[in-house]
Amino acid sequence: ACLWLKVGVLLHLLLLFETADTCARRTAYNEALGKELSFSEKCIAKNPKSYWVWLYRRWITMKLEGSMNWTRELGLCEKLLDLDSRNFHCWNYRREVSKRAGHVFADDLLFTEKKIKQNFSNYSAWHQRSFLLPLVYTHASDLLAELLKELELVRSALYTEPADQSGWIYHRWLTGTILAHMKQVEQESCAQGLPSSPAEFLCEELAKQQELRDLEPDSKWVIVTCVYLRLLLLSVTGTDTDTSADRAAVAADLQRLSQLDPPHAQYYAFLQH
Amino acid sequence: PRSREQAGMQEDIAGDYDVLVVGTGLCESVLSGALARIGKKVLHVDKNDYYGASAVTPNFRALVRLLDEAAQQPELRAGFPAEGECPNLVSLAAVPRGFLRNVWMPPAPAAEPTEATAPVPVSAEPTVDSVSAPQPAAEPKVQQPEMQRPPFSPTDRQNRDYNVDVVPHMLFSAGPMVSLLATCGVARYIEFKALERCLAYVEEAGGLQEVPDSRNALFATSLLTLAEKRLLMKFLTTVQQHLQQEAEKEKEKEKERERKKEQKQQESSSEPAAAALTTVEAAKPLDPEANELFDEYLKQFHLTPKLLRIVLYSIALLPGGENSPVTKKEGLKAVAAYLKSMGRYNSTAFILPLYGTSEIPQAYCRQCAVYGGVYMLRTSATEIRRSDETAQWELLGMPKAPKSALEALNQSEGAPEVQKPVPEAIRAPWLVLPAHLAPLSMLKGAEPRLVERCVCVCDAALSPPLQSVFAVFPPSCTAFDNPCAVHLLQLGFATYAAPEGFFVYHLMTRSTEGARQALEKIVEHLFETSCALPTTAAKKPTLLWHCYFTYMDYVMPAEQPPRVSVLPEASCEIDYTEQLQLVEREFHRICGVAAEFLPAMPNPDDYIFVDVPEQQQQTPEPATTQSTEQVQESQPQPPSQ
Repeated sequence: ACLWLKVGVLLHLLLLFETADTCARRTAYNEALGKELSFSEKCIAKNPKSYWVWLYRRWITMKLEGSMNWTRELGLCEKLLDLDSRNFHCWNYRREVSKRAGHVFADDLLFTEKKIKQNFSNYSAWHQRSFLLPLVYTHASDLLAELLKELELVRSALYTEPADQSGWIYHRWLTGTILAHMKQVEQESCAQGLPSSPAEFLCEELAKQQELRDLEPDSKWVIVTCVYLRLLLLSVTGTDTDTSADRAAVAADLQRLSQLDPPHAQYYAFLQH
Repeated sequence: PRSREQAGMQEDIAGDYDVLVVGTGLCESVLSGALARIGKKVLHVDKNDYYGASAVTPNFRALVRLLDEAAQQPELRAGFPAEGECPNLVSLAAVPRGFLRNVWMPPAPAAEPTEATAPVPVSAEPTVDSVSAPQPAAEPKVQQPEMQRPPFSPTDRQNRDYNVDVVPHMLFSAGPMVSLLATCGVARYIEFKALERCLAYVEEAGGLQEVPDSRNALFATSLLTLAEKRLLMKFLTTVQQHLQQEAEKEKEKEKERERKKEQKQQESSSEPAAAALTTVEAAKPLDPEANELFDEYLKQFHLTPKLLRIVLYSIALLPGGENSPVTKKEGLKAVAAYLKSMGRYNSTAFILPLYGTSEIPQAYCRQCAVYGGVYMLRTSATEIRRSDETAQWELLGMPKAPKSALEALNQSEGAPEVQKPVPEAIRAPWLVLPAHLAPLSMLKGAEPRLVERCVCVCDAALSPPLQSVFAVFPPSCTAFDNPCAVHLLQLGFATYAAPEGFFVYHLMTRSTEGARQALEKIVEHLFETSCALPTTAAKKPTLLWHCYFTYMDYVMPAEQPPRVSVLPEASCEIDYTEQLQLVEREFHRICGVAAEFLPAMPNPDDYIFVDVPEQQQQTPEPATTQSTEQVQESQPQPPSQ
């Protein structure tokens, strides 16, 4: 706390420089900020998970707007993420820096891919992907095609380690987004190779999940995803089709889940309704 | 530590030793290091002027010389030569019993093209003769106009940069050799580099692929179907869990043993610790699963043939083929060794010594010398005889007249031999020698094991820019018809195995019917062997030179003749596990069960400088026994997974 009092004092002092418009004052101001930058770097190295240090660095970079070396910042982020690929402070900061540096989204996407290949148990990397994909593939049908490819990528993670949560969460986002975009694409011309209707897509996906379930019958996440997909299916199918089989399947699954995962029993009971 | 006079050429080597060690091969060197470390007086002799004995790492020309010598020896059948050897006599001057055999090298650049090369032992004619000597016009082997690649001949400087292992090895990053090197401190004499990649020949994928041996590798690989990924991952995690359970059980047993030992010591203070150890050992119940086969055990995982080949030959590194079936225990141990070592220094499980494998025996010899062992390279001693009266082994046959110091210096490149008149004999009650010098009677029960080898020199790597690569060809690949698994080790400048821009490839497989032909086919497949000008960009590395030979390893029985330790000169495993077990066993035979095998280095902070009246006492005495025990306890435990 004392440390940040000092920082507060410095901030205050620097605020005085805000109004400086003579050249000399400006250079002195920049120099001081430069020193602060390297100081904050040391702090980050020691305490990579402190909110304050990162905020402080953000503030410095905002003040040093014009003379910031953004490539170096990106490099710094990469190094820190190599040490700890799940440091969300660093990911946040990297998003900022990327924006300021005018970094191309496609390159960022490659970076996330690299991080996932290093270790796919990485929420932040998957999340960043979910953030970037719509930005890179702006056209709805392109995005849809890309999302379907992503589905196969995440499936590799799901099969390698069904107990790892990060893949499943990304998978959930993918199915939701795919459904949303399918509705959009229906209105435009339908590209080839894409599933013709949401229901068909969900059925296919369900079948694939069932394959994994055959290999790993006791994996909680597979069953949760099956339930989720079935619920989506039920919401998508019209009132004329017979849904009793699906409903029964959901009920049976929820029952199984309460056995496998007692801490979440109430959640499953809630889903029952 | 005994007080010795100044080190160096003035040392008096005559006298009584505790152990006489012949040959500076790996096993002998580790053993002599261990013996000297606990205070035994060791004399270590070798007739060569280099360390490593048969498992040496020569430069290129020295390798050619070695193979030439071996080729000119009379052809020896695998096994043992004729009788007529005295059981109490070891002849050092005799030709070692065919460690290297069946040598083939490209014919030397002959003046006359029709001259057939000298007695090259009969083996299948390799199809790559067109590389070297010019062919007579009558039987053109190459369709194109006569294009002769000049015979491979490195310059002096390049020659020095070659370090070609006769017996290549890698070290498991968390294996017994690495642990030993780290704890006993010998690691300071050697530098290592991590292996960069492990490949496997996957028939279905048509070539060498990265081995999917870890979670991340499995995720990224396109080699396996999704279901296969799940199955393999399941197998790896189950084995890890199983091994963790085993490790915990072992810890429990250790604690039990310690407690029982303490109890016994409290009960009767005079009872030696050794007896306590042996009684507890005897009480261990027989493992009911001892004979379960590894193949049977693997059936529960429903691994596809592709996965099975990966597990058996790329992870467990089994030789396959006609070799006796592997038990579940052995198989799991092999898998464990690999998994435990993965990721320790980099993503692979192995490290490589710089400058070749003969660095390791050399380092242990250095350890031995530091602790007072006496070394004699280029020994001119001719024989070792056991005298019936004193039951001691005597080193005989050294010249009486001393040579001048200048002459001795001019002759040797390595350590100059101490040529002093030896009025008294050099005696020791215990003899350690390599299997190739041992008389027949000492080799009762030893099984010979032959390894087929090939060394290739090329101008490019298999998958640049990687320099150190290991690849496995599983048994019975349809393209090569290899009866056993073939191991390929690519080494380059990164480990100083070759000059910059060149690469040395080592191929190894168990020697059986058809093994050499299989190696030839693999060489043909991997490298560009024809002289034709490459029409497209050369995809395969060009084969500049290669040779074939066989070396012989022995599996030594537990029962050895009294007061003698016969050690194998090499082994056919990729790491040093078997050899170290053997060395430790022999060490305890020599020094007793309670003796410590290469204990941890004493902490320099624990040295107590004692003021001793004698002026001889120049070296600091290590701390008293009590604090040494303390030191050994406080030493960081070697990392065990």
